[in-house]
Amino acid sequence: MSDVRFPDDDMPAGAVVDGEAVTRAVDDAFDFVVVGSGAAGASAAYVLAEAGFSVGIVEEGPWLKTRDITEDVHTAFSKYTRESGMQVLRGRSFVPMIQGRCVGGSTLINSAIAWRIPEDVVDDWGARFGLGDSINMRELDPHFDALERDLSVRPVADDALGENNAMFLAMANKRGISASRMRRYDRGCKGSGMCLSACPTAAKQGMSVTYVPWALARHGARIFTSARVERVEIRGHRAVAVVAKSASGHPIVLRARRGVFVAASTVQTPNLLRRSGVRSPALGKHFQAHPGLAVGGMFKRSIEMSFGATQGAESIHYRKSERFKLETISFPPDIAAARIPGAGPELVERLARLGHVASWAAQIRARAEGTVGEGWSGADRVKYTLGEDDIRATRKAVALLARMMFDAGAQEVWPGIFGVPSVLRSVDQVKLVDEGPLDPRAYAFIATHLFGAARMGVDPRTSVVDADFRVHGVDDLWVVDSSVFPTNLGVNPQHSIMAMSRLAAARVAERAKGLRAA
Amino acid sequence: MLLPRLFSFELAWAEAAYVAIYPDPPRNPLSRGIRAMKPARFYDELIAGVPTEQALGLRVSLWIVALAPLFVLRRLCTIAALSEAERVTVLERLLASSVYAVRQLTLGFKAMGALRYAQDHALRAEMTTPRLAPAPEDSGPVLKEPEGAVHLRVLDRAKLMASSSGQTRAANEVGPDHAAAEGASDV
Ligand SMILES: Cc1cc2nc3c(=O)[nH]c(=O)nc-3n(C[C@H](O)[C@H](O)[C@H](O)COP(=O)(O)OP(=O)(O)OC[C@H]3O[C@@H](n4cnc5c(N)ncnc54)[C@H](O)[C@@H]3O)c2cc1C
Ligand code: SF4
Repeated sequence: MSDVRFPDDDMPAGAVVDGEAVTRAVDDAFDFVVVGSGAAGASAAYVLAEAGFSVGIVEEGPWLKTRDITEDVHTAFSKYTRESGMQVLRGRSFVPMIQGRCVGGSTLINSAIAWRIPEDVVDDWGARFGLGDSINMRELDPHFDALERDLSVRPVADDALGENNAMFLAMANKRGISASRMRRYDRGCKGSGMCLSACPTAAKQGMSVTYVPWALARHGARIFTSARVERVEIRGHRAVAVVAKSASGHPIVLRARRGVFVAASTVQTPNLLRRSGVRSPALGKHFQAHPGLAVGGMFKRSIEMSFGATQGAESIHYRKSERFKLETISFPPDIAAARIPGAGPELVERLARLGHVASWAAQIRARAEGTVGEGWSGADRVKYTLGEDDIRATRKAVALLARMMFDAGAQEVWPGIFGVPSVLRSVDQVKLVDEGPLDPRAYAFIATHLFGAARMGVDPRTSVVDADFRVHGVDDLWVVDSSVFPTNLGVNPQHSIMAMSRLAAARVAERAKGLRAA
Repeated sequence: MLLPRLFSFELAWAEAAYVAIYPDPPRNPLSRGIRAMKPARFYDELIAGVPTEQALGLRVSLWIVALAPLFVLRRLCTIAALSEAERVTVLERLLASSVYAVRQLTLGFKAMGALRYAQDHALRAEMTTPRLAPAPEDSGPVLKEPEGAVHLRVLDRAKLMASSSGQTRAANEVGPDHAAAEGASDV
């Protein structure tokens, strides 16, 4: 075991400054400073560093190295997610919202599903937000190509498919629903079903084992971990530095000769901009989500959800018509136990048969919009309530999944809707789901795909950044995460976030190179 | 974190509730319940480690669970004073409460216990290994498959790591895969 080296094992001396170990104030200078090391930040940092610029990355969370990964969810979530995985969207209901807070950001604990932005979404951005000349498939495609090459995007292999995924494909096929294996960032997935508590073999090509170490090892970038950026210093309409605080309590000032890229995510970016003095009427508005919820089913035969790619099969058959996407998701026991109905003997009886449980999910392309702000303690606050038409879409998706489970021979199905029996025992009972309540509090959503709140657009009154990702009215300050997305994609966002971020960084690098040459 | 650690009576409530949710054999077909894993201590540490607002939520959850016999059973006692079967009844009623905050907070309490219960590697393996057992509605003992009949696929970390030697490439090497992204199209 000790001779196995992972990509995050060996970093050049001085490339990583651990904010927990910093003992005095730090003052440093780079061409570019990147805030956040998740999907957006790591992609931008890599492009800038590869183009020959000096790059400093600042990341609020620590670096979980592959060899330290454990299988339990609690360890991963308590140390490497924001607010120990207990953040919520607040509205009529409380929806858990999960975000990574570590090197790699949410890519450490995500399922590695790669989806190019759907063309109709890009067209809509062009038509409604005037972005067509700048954001279009012609501009984005080369970046998708590069990402897929670098991060080994491929469909789930036969030997990592597993029954939970295979059964979904078979049942979708039976109903004439188009479905396919997920395409994922995968360099040799072993099907451990552990993506949500981080990949123990570095097969999942998350940012902490790819672009971050590559930017450091190949192109001389530096990363400051466990260092929270408090503000971007803007002097005379120009971003000139990033002011952070290390976990050990010392100030870290990184001067940016050419500019600052903010990639702190949809929720943290708007608040960081606000703390930095950006005053845009659109800041914090138009937050959107792509919330998901799972349906479980118990089978007589073995499913062994613990084997197979965590999320290995999907269908976008209803993305446009009904606004939902269907997916498989294998829950580890720690999460499954909370979703399984009951308490006491009934609960543990089912837990003991987890090897016979399948779990599938729906992601709703919700229309609802919310706001991002700060609460009394300075904590991030997202206000958001799903609308009635979003719940109608949810109900349809859950009912369809329940029917597919019964098609597959489920003995019981757990729809997870308050007001509908927690255990359905026959397909006839699924009509109770069709007629389920329209109250968002009846549904157990979880939000991991987040958009908006620093929207892109041409009009500074209704958007925060322009079509080149630059904050309106501030030079050398770019936002490159999904807070700039004008709308919900209806598909998993990481790939589009990275392509957009690469596009922004490549444009800025090009211009900066031109200036350097001149 | 501004809140004080759990008092001994709160620890007793948490213990009583968790032992009812994840009971010991013979009320549990798994080889052990949560009791041996000191769930109350875990809950206390959890509260100490999360931001104040979340800590408050966890504490309120515990108090709701603890005082539930008053409003569920109309009995002047806490959860710790009930028999295990009564505790389960109370908890199930809370989980199905028509008051959103009550059922959500109770679900949160149950979920925190799950984090502790499933931390144990051997128990995870027991849960995820398929059994030749009857469905939950059938009664009778849970039968393990005969030796060798079950293909155990629980995480064997050493094996996974050993078989991941493809990952031993240096950090600055990029793999050769060129997967074209076509994406399934809508129908
Ligand atoms: C459980 C889960 C599963 C998912 N599965 C998929 C999937 O399979 N496919 C997919 O496409 N998407 C998936 N997603 C969503 C996807 O991971 C995110 O959309 C994506 O990672 C967002 O990229 P980002 O760079 O904006 O934010 P993140 O990846 O979250 O990174 C932001 C980083 O910025 C840091 N940061 C924030 N504020 C500061 C500050 N003030 N100072 C310094 N650093 C700061 C954070 O700590 C964090 O590390 C999943 C998400 C989750 C949580
Ligand atoms: S399912 Fe595959 S990619 Fe996910 S953690 Fe396991 S080995 Fe890694």
